[in-house]
Amino acid sequence: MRFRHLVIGVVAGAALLASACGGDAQGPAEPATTSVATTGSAAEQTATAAEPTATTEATAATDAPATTTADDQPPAPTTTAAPLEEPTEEVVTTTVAQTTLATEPAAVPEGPPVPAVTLELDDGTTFVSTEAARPVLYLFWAEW
Amino acid sequence: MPVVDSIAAEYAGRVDVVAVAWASTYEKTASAARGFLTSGATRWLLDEDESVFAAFEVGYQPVGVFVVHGVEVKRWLGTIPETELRQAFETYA
Repeated sequence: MRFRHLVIGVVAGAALLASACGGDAQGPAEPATTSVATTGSAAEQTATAAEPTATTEATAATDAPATTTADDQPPAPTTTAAPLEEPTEEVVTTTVAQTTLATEPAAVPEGPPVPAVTLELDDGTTFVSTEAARPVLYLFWAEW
Repeated sequence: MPVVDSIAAEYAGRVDVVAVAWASTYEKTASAARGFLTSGATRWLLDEDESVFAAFEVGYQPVGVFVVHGVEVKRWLGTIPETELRQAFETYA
């Protein structure tokens, strides 16, 4: 019996000690909790870190479609821009036409028309002044 | 004439050169042409009735008349420097 009481007393004392050390017990628990919290934080950080990635990816994914959409859209604008180039070509064509028009006066200078004469040349050919395809130099001369 | 013939050879295919002679015989004109117009680029004729001289209103010689697209663009009376003659070819060729 005494031993039983002693045991009970020891247990009771241990219980008291345990209760007294309960704060201490919680102390070491804190680090555990802290550790867990830290782990949790790390996880959250990872998750947070992952989130931006995911967000970035999502954004990228969102941007990608948007870009794709934007890329898809440009073709239409590009197609729309193509017609803008056509007028440019027309302008060039117009410019060429203007150049041609500007050249024409030089090609057809003003002056008295050449008299219509038919010349029997030394080489046996006939030369018609009004049908000359090229510029002609008439040189009037005499053998003396 | 030799200078004109030389330039005519340079512009062969781009400018026709026709030498219209008058007031002489065919033999004498042909002889002079053989001596002056050696390139073959300058063709010539003898205007025996002077109808061509009259049509171009030329009363003496030498006279040069440049015609482009059926229009007389330049005429000079007497001889002109070779540089001026070349300039005319370059301008109207």
